[in-house]
Amino acid sequence: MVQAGFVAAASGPLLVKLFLALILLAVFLSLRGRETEGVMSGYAILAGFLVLRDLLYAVLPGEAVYQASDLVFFGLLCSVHARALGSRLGLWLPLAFSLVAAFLLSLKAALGLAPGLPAEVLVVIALVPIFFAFALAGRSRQSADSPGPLLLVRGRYYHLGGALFYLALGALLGRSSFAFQAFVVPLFYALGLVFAFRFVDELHEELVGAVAYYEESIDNLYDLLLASGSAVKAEFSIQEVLDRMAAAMAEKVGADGAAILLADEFDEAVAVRAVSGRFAPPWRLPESLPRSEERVADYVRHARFRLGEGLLGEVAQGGKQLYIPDAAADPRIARNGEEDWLRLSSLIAAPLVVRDRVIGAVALAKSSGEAFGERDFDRAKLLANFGSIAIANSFSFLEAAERGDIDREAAIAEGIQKTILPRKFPEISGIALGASTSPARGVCSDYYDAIQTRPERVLLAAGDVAGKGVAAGIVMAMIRAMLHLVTNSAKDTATLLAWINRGLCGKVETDQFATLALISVDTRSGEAEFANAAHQPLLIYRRDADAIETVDIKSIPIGVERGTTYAAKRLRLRAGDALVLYSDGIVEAMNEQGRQFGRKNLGNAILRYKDLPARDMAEAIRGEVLEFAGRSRQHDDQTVFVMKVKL
Amino acid sequence: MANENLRNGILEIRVDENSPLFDKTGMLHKEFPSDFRQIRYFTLLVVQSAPPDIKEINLLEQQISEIIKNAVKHGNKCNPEKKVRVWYSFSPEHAHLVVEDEGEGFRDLEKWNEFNRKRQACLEKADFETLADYVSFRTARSDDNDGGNALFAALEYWDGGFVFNQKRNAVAMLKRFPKRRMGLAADES
Repeated sequence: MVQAGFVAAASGPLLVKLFLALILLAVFLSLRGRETEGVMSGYAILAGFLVLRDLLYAVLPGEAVYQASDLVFFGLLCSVHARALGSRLGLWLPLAFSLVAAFLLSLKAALGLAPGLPAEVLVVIALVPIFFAFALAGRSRQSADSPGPLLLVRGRYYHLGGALFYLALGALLGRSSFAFQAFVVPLFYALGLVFAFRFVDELHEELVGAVAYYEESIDNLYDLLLASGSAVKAEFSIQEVLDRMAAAMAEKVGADGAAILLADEFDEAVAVRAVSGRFAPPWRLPESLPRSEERVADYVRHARFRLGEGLLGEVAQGGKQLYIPDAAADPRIARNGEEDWLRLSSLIAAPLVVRDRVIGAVALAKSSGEAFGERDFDRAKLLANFGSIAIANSFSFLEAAERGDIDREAAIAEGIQKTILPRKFPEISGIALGASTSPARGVCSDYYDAIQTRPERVLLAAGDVAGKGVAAGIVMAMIRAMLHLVTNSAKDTATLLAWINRGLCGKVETDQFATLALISVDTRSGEAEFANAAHQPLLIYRRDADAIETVDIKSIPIGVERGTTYAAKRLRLRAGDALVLYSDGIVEAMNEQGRQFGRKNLGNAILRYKDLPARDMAEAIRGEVLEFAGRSRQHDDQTVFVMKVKL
Repeated sequence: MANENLRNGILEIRVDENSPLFDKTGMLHKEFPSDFRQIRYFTLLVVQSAPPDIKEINLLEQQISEIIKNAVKHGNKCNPEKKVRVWYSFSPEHAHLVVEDEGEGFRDLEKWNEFNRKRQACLEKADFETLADYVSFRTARSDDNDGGNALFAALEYWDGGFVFNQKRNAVAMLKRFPKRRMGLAADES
């Protein structure tokens, strides 16, 4: 019986219906991934339902099966639509309605009651919730903005027409009639395919729209970045970046004038930094300001607002956009005069924001012609967003460039100092030399040297140039050159100092000062001579007394006065003694408690490390200073220069 | 940020021994003999520790030089036996100095304030005839190079405060360098 029925059905319109329903299922399933609102998924379920329905009809042919399944189908259709359009009521109500009706219908058929008239009534009743759902679709028109829902809204009359057509013919011809099964049902299914094609069309349209929007946006951004980027040249100027950006924004949004304001956190104000075109100010101009175009333009260019004060001060403080298409109707806009260049017809203002920080604002003004539209406003917001990034990048770039300059100069100064300081000391019998130095970043002004003039004579020098960096390095180079030139003379150290002083004084435009201590040592006799130009007092470790001796000579640095004469002191060195020269960076090194290392600590350190070889002794003493200072910043060069008389 | 030396809109030298500007904790320290010839040298030694980030370092140097000059010349009367003590600390955001001499103290401080007030009043009234009397500030101890204008510039420059101690032989001062920090946190209201 079942088999016979199936064969009968298959020889009829069944195959066509099944094919069509399966194709629908396949099409909607394949479109499912193209949207997120679930319209295509819903339609795929509907198509699946139709496949099952027709299979059932093949097995159980009868008017009631088709009537009941149609009811469920339209109920489901309503639910799919209501879901896509966000109506919770429409989601369940028609479905529940149609399910109940379908159930009653099936019950009647099963009980063998007359199927004719009441079924049609029920079908009509089932249409009520369908109307309800479709009306909803129209109401949600505003909210539909993606292809699926949009299609439901736009095609709702076609949907309704199709449904009525199908239902009317169903009632008229009888659902189990050959005409209905062979023509109406396949035609109705084919409408589903039309719907699918319309959806693809809608997708395409959306894509084209999006592409156009992005193309335009990219064009605008490209122009904006090009405008600001080409300002980044060898001669980098923020002003140029801002000027170009203001011009580009005015052009892209179609404004008559644009103003860029930057915020100053320190002063809690925003100030106009760049103006392009004719920017009619939206704020009230002072009465005393002459109403000449030039004076007003100049005034605008230097305008400044406290944060939160005035329209633009509010934009900068609140970080909110301002869109005033009709300035004449807005009480916030000041009317400053009737002249063309004072009239403001339309205004857009947007904050410049980078990572939650408002860095300023951009204001765009129109004086005449068409008011700014929503699209202009969108464009202005987009440009403001990217403009902010460009401005922030420019500032970062500038900062990096400046930092780079500082670092480069520091590196050069360090290089100069390294070249000037002796890499290793001459091997001289009877004495041992050692030094340890550490430049402070960017300072590099300590100098020391040991020059062997005769086999038994060595000249030790230690100095500190006032000032820092490359400038100090150049002075150091001059001093070194002069020193090496004059050491070969038989003159005493005081005379050498006087000569170097004269060499330094008045030779260069700017003042150059340095301390310089010179010690001439006869390594055979132990006779020594110490002359000092304001360098730190010489400390001598005396082995006999196992104590520190301080030798100081009051004097002024070299470079102060051309005629300065210096005094020298004679010293007698014995085996085991040690001379220690050091820079002020050693004794003035400060610890975290704000105390200076001092000469007393230095003396103690010398006593502690007196038995180490000269080089190690110098290192150890400086190491002690380092430990003393802890984590506080080294603010000056630190140098320890040691000469030990061998035992 | 407003200049701390403004009182009712007029720059004024203050005397306040307890000003926090006299707190020398953590400040570097140097002592110099009162040798007029070496003022530039001393200035360089102090400014040397200013970080390279400070812009307009020349202006800072000039201002420090003026203060040391005042201490050497007016405070210690160029007596090389008397010392000038300087405490200083710098950062990219500030310059803080305390300069102390061994002199008798700035006795004409009130007179200078009065002088400045009157000059300001002339300016406001646009009374340029009287203003001519206030071109320079002179006392019995002034020489040709003194005019009190360096003090005026100092009050302008040291915008974080310019304060004398009770004895008026020490002055503490603070200069603020606005850090270039762009923008402000968005007000999420």
